[in-house]
Amino acid sequence: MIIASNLSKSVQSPEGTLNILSDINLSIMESESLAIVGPSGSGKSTLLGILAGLDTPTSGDVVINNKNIVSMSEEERAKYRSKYVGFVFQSFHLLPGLTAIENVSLPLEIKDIPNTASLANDYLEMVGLKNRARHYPQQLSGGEQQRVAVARAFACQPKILFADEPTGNLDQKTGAKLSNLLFELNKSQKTTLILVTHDMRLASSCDKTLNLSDGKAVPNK
Amino acid sequence: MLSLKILLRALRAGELKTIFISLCLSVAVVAAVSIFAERIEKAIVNESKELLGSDFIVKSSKPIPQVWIEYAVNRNIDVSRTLSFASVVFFNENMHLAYIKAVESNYPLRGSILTSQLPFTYDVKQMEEFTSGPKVGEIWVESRLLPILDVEIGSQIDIGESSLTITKILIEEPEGPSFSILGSRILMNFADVESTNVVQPGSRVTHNLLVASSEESDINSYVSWVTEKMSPHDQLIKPEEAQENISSTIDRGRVFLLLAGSIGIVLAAVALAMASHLFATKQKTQVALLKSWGLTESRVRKLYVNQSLFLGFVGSFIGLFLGYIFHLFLIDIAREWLPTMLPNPGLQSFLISIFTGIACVIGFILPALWHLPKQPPISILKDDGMGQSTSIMVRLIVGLCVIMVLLFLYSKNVSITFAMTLGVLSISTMAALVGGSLFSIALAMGKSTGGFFRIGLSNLWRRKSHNLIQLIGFSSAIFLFLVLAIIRNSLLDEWQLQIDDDLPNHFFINVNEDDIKEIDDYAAKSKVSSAGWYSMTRARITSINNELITEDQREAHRAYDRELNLSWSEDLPAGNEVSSGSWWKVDNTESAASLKGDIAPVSVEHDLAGELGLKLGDVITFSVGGLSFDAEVSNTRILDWEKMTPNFYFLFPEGALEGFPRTSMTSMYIPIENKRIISEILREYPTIQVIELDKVFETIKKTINQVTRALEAMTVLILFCGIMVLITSVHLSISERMRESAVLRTFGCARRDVVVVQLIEFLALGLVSGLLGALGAEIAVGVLSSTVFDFSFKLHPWIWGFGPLLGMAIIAIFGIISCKSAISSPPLSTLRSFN
Ligand SMILES: Nc1ncnc2c1ncn2[C@@H]1O[C@H](COP(=O)(O)OP(=O)(O)OP(=O)(O)O)[C@@H](O)[C@H]1O
Ligand SMILES: [Mg+2]
Repeated sequence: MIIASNLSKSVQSPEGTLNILSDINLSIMESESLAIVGPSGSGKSTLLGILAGLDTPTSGDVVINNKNIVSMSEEERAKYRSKYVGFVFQSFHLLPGLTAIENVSLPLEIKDIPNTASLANDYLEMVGLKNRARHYPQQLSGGEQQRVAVARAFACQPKILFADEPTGNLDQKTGAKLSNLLFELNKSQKTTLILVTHDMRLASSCDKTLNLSDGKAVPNK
Repeated sequence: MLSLKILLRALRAGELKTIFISLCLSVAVVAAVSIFAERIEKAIVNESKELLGSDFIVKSSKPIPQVWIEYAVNRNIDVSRTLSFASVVFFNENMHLAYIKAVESNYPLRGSILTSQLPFTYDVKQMEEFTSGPKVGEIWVESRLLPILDVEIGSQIDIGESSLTITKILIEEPEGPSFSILGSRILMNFADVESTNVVQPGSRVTHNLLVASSEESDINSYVSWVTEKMSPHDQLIKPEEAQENISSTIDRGRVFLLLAGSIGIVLAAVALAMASHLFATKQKTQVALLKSWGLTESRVRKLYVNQSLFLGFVGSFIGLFLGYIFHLFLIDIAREWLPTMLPNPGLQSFLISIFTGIACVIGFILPALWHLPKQPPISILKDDGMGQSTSIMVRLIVGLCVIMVLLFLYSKNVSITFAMTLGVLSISTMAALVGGSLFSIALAMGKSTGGFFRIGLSNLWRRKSHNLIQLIGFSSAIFLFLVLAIIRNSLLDEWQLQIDDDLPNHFFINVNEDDIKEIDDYAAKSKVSSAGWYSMTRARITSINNELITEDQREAHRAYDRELNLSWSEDLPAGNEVSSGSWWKVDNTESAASLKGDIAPVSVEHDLAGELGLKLGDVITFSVGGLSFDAEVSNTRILDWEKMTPNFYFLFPEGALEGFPRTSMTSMYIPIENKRIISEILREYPTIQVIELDKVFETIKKTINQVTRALEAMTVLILFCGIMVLITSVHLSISERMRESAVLRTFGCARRDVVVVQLIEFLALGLVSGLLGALGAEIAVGVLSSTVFDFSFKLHPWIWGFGPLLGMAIIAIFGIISCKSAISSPPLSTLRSFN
């Protein structure tokens, strides 16, 4: 269960204090899905980063399973990320020097999860890329790269999956295929899913939607 | 284990290629040069031991005490005595003042005696080597004694009261003089000395004790034991002092080698620093991912430190291996100059090489990666969140410190360390100061010119910090290469003077002025000519500051005990340098001439003045065949011994020695096939003394040729290192350049135009680097000239043109080659590879 209360984030800029997020409140139950939507520059990525423990807010709390990750030290937050969190990014962030299967294995190896290779293989198969396992990211299309990234995120079996515009770089059909995949995994593994998207169809398939505008939550239309 | 896995993958992906290559190369350069230098040095010492006939010699004007011999024998140290003295030898009415050496039967302890059965032979096939000297009753003599005494092999000649049989022609023996001034050399058995009865108490004899042992520790302990027992009459001669005539060449060659190696280290270090910087920028995504997955800062750091150390060890060992191979190649180049058996390298060179690798990791790789683990995890979502990299200043200081430690450890030479560090430091400072403003000027210039110049020059400005590192790298490479080129040229110029083909290689001294013309005629018949005649007066020092020379003084220094050559000159001879006092002006000479019988000014050679304790203003009384005159020390001079022109210890103003008996001397170039004329002249004019320097010259020439070749091989290696640095620094910005080219091409820019944009940027960078490099080179060469190499200080205008040209050419060529694939492949594939 994730509860965010009174989240604000501001940064100092040459033009004075800039409020990126102000007074955001939200709560998501386990295995629920949340879509964060809003125009460009509205603070979606910033909010996602704070919820995932990648960044800290200026004020407010994020409580996950009764633990406030805001008051944790960076080391403890790292432990939290390691234990609960998985990511899918807009620009994939596959390592160009590693093959698809190695990209999927890497977080498993780092987290000392046994049977890395077969696990990675299973997840690659799940996203339909088993026969591309030894290919490098350069040799894959954008959609294929994003599927590898999804496999990588799921292979660690995270409790919460964060995705920042996972379909942003993909055509509609590929995007739809990928979001189906995300929800399937969300259902089958009881993963809590928090995603940022511009795609209204994807947003509407989520249990909840948070609409941001200029850093403030606005009621859903 | 995980670090190893990640490391191997990074290696496979080519991300570590440049780091790995520069690491291997720096270790390889250090290994090659230090193993090479160590083996050569050992070989030279060994060769010197052969020249000494032993590991060291105790030389004395008194007989060697029996206890010194017993002490050695009790410790299983080999000793052998020799006795040298001048004595007249007779055959019928003919006589000759010969230089005789009596040797014990175990002489020489090291090396061998070269002999032949045929006089005046230069054919190696006729020569024979022996490891012991003449038997009792026999003597071995130098060829030229045969015509002088009119004898042949088998003749019996008289030395003192005994007569001995000539059995061999003596060509060369250990611990012999490198040239003979005292007449023909004769080698006889120690046991025969007594029966000749020529050595009496009080006669001038040099007693030598040759000492050798296979255990270096025994030798060292004997040296320290005997040094304590030694009196002022005794002198210790070590192998290092045995080869004085070529030691300066070898020394400078060695220093050059060390310099080249040091330059290699700095170059490789620069390449490594840049490669690490490049690697760090590429690791950004990986670190952000690792942190988003919950890896803590300390674990990420451990990961990279482990990787770096592992890389350091593997790179060092591979580098060591490569260096060993390269040293074999260096040896092959210098083969003829080297003794056939080179001693094996010690552990030291290997340790230094491995240490270099680890130090490089600590000094260059780790600082470049240090900021990575601090990168905030949020940077995975936003590009701006890149952690601040350790400042260039801090990295520069760490790097310079490591370079200094390495340089010193390696060259053991403060001046080289200082010169190199100062050079890099001044380049970096200038790059930081000038670079920033130059980039701005370039931006402004580009704005006003427009077109491709605008894009090219404003790129320079936009990538300022990258370019600053690149600029330091480029300028350092050019700087180091220029230093090497300047020093190499100066050395070669200087050496060339010494190996000129018709430099005189024989000196004829003590020639009667009336005989000059006939000797010239003699020489002309053999198509040999003298290089001008010098006159001199032979005189003895009888007192200094009106105190008579004592017997003790005479024993202590030979200059008091024999006739010295005095000469005169209006001007300071070429190559001489006044070290104290001042050279006389021309108008003094008239008064000096009129001073005859009174006090004349005299110029004394610097070292001799020191040995005799002569100061400016001291009055020396000379005696010339019974006539005395006084002279006041008015200056001291440093002579140039490498030029092989006649040098005089005592010089007077023109006319000051008018009226005293004179003899003349000259020098000639006599090729080996004409050497017979020496004995012909000697037979005709027995009072003439000949100094043969041809063997010394041959050695010098051979040495210089070989040292030159080793030096050129080194220069080529360094050139490779330099080019590698340049390539590395081009790679520093290559991906950005490629992406940019691709974008420009999607806009519809022609391929040619894209090349022009890149070219303009490369040329501008090359120009600035060349200028900075030239500046650094002038500074470093200035330091090196005045300290290690002894060149006179001067500026080198050519490098200010050559440096920038070299910089522009190399950077443009390699830059364009590296960008070529991006420029010629379709823009889409380039762009895709950056997704
Ligand atoms: N460190 C920062 N300094 C200054 N401004 C920042 C910083 N981080 C974010 N911003 C600003 O905050 C706003 C929100 O940024 P954020 O990346 O969260 O937007 P977003 O909703 O994800 O937009 P997009 O849909 O384009 O990805 C933007 O205007 C951005 O410029
Ligand atoms: Mg965003």
